[in-house]
Amino acid sequence: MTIHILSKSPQHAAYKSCLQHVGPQDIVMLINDGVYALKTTDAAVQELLDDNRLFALQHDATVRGVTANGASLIDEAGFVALTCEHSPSQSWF
Amino acid sequence: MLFTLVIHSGPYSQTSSTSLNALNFAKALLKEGHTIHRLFFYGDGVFNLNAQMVTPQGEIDLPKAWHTLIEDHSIDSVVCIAAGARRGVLNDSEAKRHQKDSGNLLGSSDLSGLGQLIEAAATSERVITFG
Amino acid sequence: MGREGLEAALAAGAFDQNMAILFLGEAIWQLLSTQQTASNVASDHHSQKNHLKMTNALPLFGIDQIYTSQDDLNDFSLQLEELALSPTALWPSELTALMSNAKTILSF
Repeated sequence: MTIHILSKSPQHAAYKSCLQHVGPQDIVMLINDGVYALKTTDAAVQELLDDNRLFALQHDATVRGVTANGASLIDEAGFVALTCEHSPSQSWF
Repeated sequence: MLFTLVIHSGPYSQTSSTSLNALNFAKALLKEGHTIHRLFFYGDGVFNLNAQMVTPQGEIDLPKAWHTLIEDHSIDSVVCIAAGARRGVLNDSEAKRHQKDSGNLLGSSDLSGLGQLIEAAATSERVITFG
Repeated sequence: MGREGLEAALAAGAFDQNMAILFLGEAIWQLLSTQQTASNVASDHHSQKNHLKMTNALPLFGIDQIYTSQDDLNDFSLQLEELALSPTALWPSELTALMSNAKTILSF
């Protein structure tokens, strides 16, 4: 179960690559500009939301004015816990 | 758990530097009782330990924050020697070797080779990249 | 940065790690076999060493699992034959499996 860490906005190539390679058991953690994914209506994002497999760093969402939109907003301790529960980690940037 | 963090982002790299994300992640994992095997600064990440950086008022002084974290917890911190040389992040002996005026590597981080990254990746239970 | 990713891969090879290298997205351009550097292009037109030469060193360092994305090749209108090192082109679901089977993934 891979944790995909996405730090780029949907306008970046890393966003498409990330969503394209998320396996059915994998989770996605949005950090930094990655949180803008919560503003999209993309089917791949919706699917992750439906399965509760989409997480975002609370602080990064708040400072960018982005709301949860169904994703789980977590703090850094929560992020650390996710990396303990899921391995390997794949960063997209 | 034993973590290694690989930091590719400098304080002012690109539009979305993840340097602060990496720093906060490092702080959180220590607070949660985990251990950092190594910090490996690569690519533009070497700028995080540039002692010559002057942070504008009101912004987070990332080199200072990294320095404080590394010293307070005696963390094994490695700046890639080749990535650093390319970008002008040198310690005193490297500066002398390359005939530059002075070194500018902040604190007690080591300038060392990619073997340190490979060793860390093989040894750690978790390797998290911040790009 | 492509060059620094390659250097890390070569280091991993030198340390005898069991590894695969994956060229994804625009990294694929690194493999374009027609690129010209160093000896045959005036030296003030390129700022770095011959990239393809370094890429071609991967097998010499024991790195023979070289992959790319068929989906990206299609996006870039590239044929596998245009790439150096004869990578294996995988579809996204196969790449997902490749990643999840790794102990550690380093991205550059």
